Amino acid sequence: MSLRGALTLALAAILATSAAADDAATLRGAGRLSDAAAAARGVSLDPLAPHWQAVPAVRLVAYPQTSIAAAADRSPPREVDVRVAVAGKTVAVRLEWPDETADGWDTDRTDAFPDAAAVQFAAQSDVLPYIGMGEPQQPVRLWLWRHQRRAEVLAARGFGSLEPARGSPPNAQAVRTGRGGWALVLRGERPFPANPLPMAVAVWDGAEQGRAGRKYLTAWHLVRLPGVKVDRAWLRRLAEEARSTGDAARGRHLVVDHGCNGCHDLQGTHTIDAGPDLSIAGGIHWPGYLRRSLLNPNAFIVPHVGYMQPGTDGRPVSLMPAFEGSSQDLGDLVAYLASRR
Amino acid sequence: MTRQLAMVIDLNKCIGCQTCTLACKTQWTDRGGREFMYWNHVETQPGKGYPRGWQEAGGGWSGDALRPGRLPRLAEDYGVPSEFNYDALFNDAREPLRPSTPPAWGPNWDEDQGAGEYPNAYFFYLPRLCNHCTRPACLAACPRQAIYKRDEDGIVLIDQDRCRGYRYCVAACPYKKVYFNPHAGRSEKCIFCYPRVERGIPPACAFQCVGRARHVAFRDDEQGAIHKLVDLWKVALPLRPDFGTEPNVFYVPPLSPPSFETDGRPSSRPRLPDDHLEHLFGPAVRDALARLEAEIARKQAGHTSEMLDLLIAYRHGDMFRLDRPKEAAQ
Repeated sequence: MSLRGALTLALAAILATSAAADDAATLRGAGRLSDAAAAARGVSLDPLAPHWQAVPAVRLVAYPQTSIAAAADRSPPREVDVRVAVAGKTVAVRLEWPDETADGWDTDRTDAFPDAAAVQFAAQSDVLPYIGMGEPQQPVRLWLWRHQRRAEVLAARGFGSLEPARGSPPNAQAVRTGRGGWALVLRGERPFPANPLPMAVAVWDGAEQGRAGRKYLTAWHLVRLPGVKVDRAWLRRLAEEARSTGDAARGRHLVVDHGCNGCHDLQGTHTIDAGPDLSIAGGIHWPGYLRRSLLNPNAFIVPHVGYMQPGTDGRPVSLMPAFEGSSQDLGDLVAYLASRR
Repeated sequence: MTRQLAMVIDLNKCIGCQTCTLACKTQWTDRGGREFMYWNHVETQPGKGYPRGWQEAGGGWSGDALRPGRLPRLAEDYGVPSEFNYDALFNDAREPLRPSTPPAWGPNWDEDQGAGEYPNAYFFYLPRLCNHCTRPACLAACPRQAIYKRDEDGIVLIDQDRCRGYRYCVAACPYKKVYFNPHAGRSEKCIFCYPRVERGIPPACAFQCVGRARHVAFRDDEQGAIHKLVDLWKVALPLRPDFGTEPNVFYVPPLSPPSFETDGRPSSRPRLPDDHLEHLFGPAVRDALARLEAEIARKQAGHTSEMLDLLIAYRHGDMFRLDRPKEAAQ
């Protein structure tokens, strides 16, 4: 190799590295990326083990699920502290969230539901999958804990598709915290090779008859795993999905101009349900998802019979027309929707 | 096009003996967390029934929308099956034999209570099972498509591999005939004895009925009892048609003796109030009862009545026509 060639390669590598660092910084700044801790000596399943205190926590907000069958009496969101530690191919996730009463699996009751929590993982792909259980072309993998039941490893490709996944279930251990909540550690095999690894959290409150879609969910969050090569192109795409530079104040008027509010609930008033509730859109969706939905409503249709109609080839077609307008308008709309939470 | 296997239960022949209940229980629900379940039971009307207050527990359809429903509670609304202190029989004679936990409700808790005051007290028996509805609310309520209705006989089943115990079906069934098994973590229900039916044997509840009250046939079988009683003569009616699920279990409504005047003479009013029957079986119940009475009068006058002969069921085997359509028998 010539000296010049080597220099060019070296320069390219430096530029790529710095671009990746920029992307990581952007994502971190937007609160969408954090680092897992390396735990060379293994990860304890005990949520109260001292080493967990040394792992930095990221606080994610879990919003009540309202995309389908919004509850009339919407509960306030719940904050979940998430810590991730990695030892080789083992990933451990520690969740801590408020839940006033411990609701277990009760074989003496037919009307009781256990408290539960799940971590959802996505593989590396062109875009992040839909936050609610993935998409037909983009499966997600889940670790599910229900109080007093064995933890499960599950796979899903959209609402209603949840099924047992191959592989061993995660280990789980939960304790009540002094602050009236749960601390839970789920530990299992790294579900996908992606780095950063997209994950999202859902919690169910048994006291609210939480199960299935009656849950609180966070947006996708990226966790950078130590000791695993970061895929820069993937990081680039994720940074692009997180990008939102529009004018939210202007977007607020555009949702009326474009008639979005005719079908979508943007204020949480529960008076409109022709399309998914978007009053917490920014809380659970990335700007990239909102952009994709606006430009191509059929890329993924929230699976609710009321949101689609059969197309000429029998495949479902979204009731929503694709966005038509300037890129500035698009950016402002996305910025407004991303601010709804 | 779904073919529908259906049942007619003649309430004038039901004596409340619970043989159907036991036939079902020993076959299907005496184990594995199902002990409290009665896929088939006989309750007394008027009454709160089983589970307690099921008629007021919501579910079913309001037009094209599911009505909200609530989940019955194991101890309070179904009742926990009792264990008895049999050891006491052999140990201490002063300790009475009794359930180890005081029961609070059960499948025939308010049996024979009924309503009204002597001499005009009244009640009748109402056997109930899954109605294998044409518009099953349970099926529509499941977010996982775990419930399906078979094309070959219309039997509604819960896929135990898909069910995750969310219980939206339990809330949605206005008859409360889907049960959550808290040990298995899944919901279960009457399967219309499909393993028997597939071999041409009637469901256990119908086959064991000592009163010959239950007919089973395909709805579209014009020689079968269901088509004749439901569609031709219109003397068998679905329970609570206002729930909107279009049941496939039908009832010949109960006839009634006259109520007594205060001076003891029989009046022209029936002992069973029309409005209660109408509440249960819809406004068509009046015509159905009138047709039934007219037919009885005909038979009493010495004429023949195909309807009454069918309801009398001279031959047990005549009550069941389970011939499988050729394509399903393959």
